Amino acid sequence: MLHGVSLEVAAGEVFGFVGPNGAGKTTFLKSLLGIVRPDAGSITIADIDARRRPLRARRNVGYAPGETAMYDSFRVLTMLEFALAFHESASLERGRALLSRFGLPEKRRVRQLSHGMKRKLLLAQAIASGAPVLMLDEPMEGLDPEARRDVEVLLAQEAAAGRTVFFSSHDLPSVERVCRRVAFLRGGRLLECGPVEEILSRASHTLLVQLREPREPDALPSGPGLEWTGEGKRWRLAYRGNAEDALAQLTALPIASLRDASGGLEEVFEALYGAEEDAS
Amino acid sequence: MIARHFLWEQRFLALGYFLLLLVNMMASVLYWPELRDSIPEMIKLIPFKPLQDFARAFDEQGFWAYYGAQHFWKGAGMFGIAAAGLMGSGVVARDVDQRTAELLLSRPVSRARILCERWCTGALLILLPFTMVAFIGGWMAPSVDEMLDRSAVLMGVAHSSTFLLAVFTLTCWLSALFTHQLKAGILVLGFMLLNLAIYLVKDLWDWSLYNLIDLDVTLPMEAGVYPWRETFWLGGATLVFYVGALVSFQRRDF
Repeated sequence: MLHGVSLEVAAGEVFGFVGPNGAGKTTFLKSLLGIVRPDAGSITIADIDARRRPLRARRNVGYAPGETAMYDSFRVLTMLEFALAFHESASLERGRALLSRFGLPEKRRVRQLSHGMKRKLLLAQAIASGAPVLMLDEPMEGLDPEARRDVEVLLAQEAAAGRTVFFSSHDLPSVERVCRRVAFLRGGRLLECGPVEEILSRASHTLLVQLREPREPDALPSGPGLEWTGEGKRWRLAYRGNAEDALAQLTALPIASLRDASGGLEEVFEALYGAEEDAS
Repeated sequence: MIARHFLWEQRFLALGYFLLLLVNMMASVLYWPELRDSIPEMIKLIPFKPLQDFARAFDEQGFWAYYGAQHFWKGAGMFGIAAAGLMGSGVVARDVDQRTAELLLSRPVSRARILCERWCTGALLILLPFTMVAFIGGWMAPSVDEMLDRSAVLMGVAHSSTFLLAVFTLTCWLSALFTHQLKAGILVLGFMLLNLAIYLVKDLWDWSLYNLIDLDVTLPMEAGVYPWRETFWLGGATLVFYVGALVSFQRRDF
């Protein structure tokens, strides 16, 4: 059940939709496409009222479902042809190029594909649909790290080409890398929505500093917003503000190595949902 | 594309159904000369009154009665219903069962078109083998020194087709309501089996749907009398079931 979820995604934007299992992400995507009928509210896709003209609205959407089930008896290419047959703007050539990029054998039966391969096939058909809006439900789920990176690059390219990418995911590092804005959903309600940069500014900023020779705490640079923990050669620096100012403080230290250990969306996610749980 | 996909999915079922009808027809026609001479003795051995009436009709009316019972009653009432139940139950529920509904319904294609294309394909797969076998029977008749009136065969096919379409469309409706294909199929086949059982009980047989395709309906066709009233009701039922299936499918969340 969704309550008062209101979102607007601009053309050419990559938008992430995040939430724990059962938050309503898939239901939200299904309502946009008319697979589930909302009781109230309005949906506009590419300037088309999707509740009044669902068919026209769906012509503008390339959708990859979260469920990887497909017609098992089909071969990969036949499945692609079937999925693209309803989109006037679809390109089978583009689809075949994506199959090749993802390493999917065209002649193999769908039932013989692994979970990750099915996920790639669903992505290929959504992208090759040629629709201006891509709606992807958990597109990274089941993919290995290399494939995940490849999909991230692909989605960024699609957005750069002017397509709108709206995707739900549990893979927060991917959302962080690809999305311009992100929305957090919980129990069918929108908790937070905003630019990724803005939301990330709420996460802690930490540097892991390895020195060539040990130092005492009072020999480390101090200043407002800097907090050191650790001992000897290994220190952890928590800082507020931007990274450039923090790094400027470290120039006098004999640094062996430096690693950014700042919290990402996962930390914000935990804080957000932890606070919600405490409140409830 | 939807019709082609449905055709591909149902191809083995349709082939099996055609072969069953064909074997039934060939065996029936070839067995006729042997049966023709022993009907009076056979009647005494038949346990159910409705079936005794069938045998009497064979004796009195000859090959047309036998052919009608074999194809328009047994062929449609058993093999046809089995095919209609199995095909119709998959029209919507199969996608729910195999979790492909989300993929299908996210395409820019209306639910009305999905139902229409699958219904038309299913109807074709049920009626085409039935019609072909009916005419194969007519073509085989001279081999046992019998003749069938082509227009009577055509009437029988037309009337049985409306019966099969009604059952098929009812199954489509149940398919649009249920989550599991098996449930929709079993419900229709169970309902038809119950009707067959009722048909075999002397005091209840008037209540059975099998009355709509039995010899009381098909025998007059030889004289050119077509059962317009029964066809009208079956056609009306088909229309109601189709609208029901469409409304249920349109209103359903997946």
